[in-house]
Amino acid sequence: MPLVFAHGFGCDQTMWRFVAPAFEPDYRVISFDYAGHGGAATPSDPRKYGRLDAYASDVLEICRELEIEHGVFVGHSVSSIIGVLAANREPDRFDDLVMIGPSPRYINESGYIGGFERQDIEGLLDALASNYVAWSRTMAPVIMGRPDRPSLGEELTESFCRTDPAIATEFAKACFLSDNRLDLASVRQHCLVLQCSEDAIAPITVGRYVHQHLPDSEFVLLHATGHCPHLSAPDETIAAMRAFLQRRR
Amino acid sequence: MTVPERDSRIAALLDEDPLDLYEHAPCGYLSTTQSGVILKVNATFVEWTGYEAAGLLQQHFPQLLTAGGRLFFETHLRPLLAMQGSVKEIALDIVCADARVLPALVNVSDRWTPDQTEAIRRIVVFDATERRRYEREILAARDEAQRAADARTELINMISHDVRAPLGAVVTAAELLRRTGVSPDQDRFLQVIQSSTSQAVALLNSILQSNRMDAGRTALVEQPLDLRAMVEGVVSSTRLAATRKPGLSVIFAYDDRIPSSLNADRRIIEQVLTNLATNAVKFTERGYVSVLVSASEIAADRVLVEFVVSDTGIGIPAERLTHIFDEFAQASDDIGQRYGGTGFGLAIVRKLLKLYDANITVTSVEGQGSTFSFQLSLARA
Repeated sequence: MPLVFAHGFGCDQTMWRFVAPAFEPDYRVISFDYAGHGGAATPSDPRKYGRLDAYASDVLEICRELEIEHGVFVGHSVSSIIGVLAANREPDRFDDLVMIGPSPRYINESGYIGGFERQDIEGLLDALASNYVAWSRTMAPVIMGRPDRPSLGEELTESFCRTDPAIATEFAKACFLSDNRLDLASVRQHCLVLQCSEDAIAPITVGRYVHQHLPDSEFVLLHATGHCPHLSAPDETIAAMRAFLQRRR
Repeated sequence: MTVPERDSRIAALLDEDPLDLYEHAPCGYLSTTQSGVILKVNATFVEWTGYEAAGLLQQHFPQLLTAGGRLFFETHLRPLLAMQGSVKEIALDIVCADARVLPALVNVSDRWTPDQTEAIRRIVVFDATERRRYEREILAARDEAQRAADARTELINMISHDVRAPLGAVVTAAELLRRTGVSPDQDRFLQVIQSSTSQAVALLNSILQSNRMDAGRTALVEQPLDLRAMVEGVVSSTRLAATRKPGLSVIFAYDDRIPSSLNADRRIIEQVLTNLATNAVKFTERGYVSVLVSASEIAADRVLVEFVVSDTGIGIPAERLTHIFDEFAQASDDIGQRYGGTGFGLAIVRKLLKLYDANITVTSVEGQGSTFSFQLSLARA
């Protein structure tokens, strides 16, 4: 059975390195980089990637190319929603969606707390602009070992989360300015919402909102804190996913 | 003051108290748990931000950032820290006690216990107020320069369009005038008018095409193509152009292993080969111009096709080789006068090949000739 791992905003497929291998014995594990991220080429027209639909199209193209049907889609953060869009367009590609820290809407509105105001997103775009100025030097190809953790050794002398600046800006807009609350209701797949205890990006109330508005979903509150349990608490994340997948088979 | 007295006073200064250095270093120091809870903070950070030291303890470090910075921290830095254990020189804004924002550069690195079971996160904060100001000025200047360049391009496009139309009329009128029965002298002058005006039109076309490509308005359009027939067409035109030079022959070789139908962008390959072959003929009086097309790699679905255009012409001086693909660049300033041309041809070649993610390479010996080559990965149709 195919298990497709889709990374979130700010990183690339290397972020699955502590989780994906655990599923390799039992699943056909697939992970990929979105356009302009990691090893994927930067598209000639980055503006196309200012909408989440473009990412969903790319996911579906990968599915077509790899002939994926009735698989499981594992999306981190915004990719949970990209998974929703892809599943709504071609329902047979995935039978289950695993959503890690999903949020269908980041901006507060009357009657809905997303956690952020519009000007906060402008602040993020500022932070992106000023950090991507020196991106190549400071963040993208961080080529360093970890003398403090020699056990991880050579494996880490590679680059993580390399992102093209133009794409990062478009992805940020697509992630944080879109409103996909209405898309939840039409999801036919069985979903797992994995929610961290203290998540500054997707608070518990938002995770519960997603759970309540999906027609068929399970909600698991992890002990892990932060927004990336697959990095900070891989064992707990693997266990929760495995339990869900076993209940389903 | 005696020398020993002075030495002992200097020695006293050098004997710094490490704790004092930690507290009052010209940067903020914080130690946090891996999830970000502040465990220890130095006096400099407290002084800069105006918080009570006790009040900072047990707070999450990301909570001290602006909301945008917090988003950046959580989405970019936390994954990086989890994977590589450190980040350097990250621009973040720290919100101070009085709501003032302190632009900062932040380094973060994890420190592990010897058994690698526990770690703390060490955060070093530099005051980047001045640096951020410069950065903003530089970014604003860059955007301004880009806008100015765009406006200039737009102006040049407009002028090129507007001048091209009347020049076209001049070429046509001169041709019509020649057919009305003019004296040999008049015919010669009309030919000068025609060829000069045609050159000007060619220049304007090159400028417009080059600008179109810079603006990203030219895209790859691949369709099934009989590559051999297309290249043969270019070679025939080259032969025709070379008939005016009795000492010059045109050589053509085509690798039969190349599949007869490939998916390729006809306009791009045709124009690139035409530009290269036209140059080769222009700069070669005797010897040969050759067009060679061969398969470098043949896979089930794709073929790597190599195109090589060589000549035995005047060649390019070594010091000009790196510049010949720049716009308006010719191998020397008098080349344009002696041989004509606009210096746009190779710039366009490079831009066209970029659409294919392909590079063009050139080797040349002055006085002996030049060789241009590029490779395209083409799918079988």
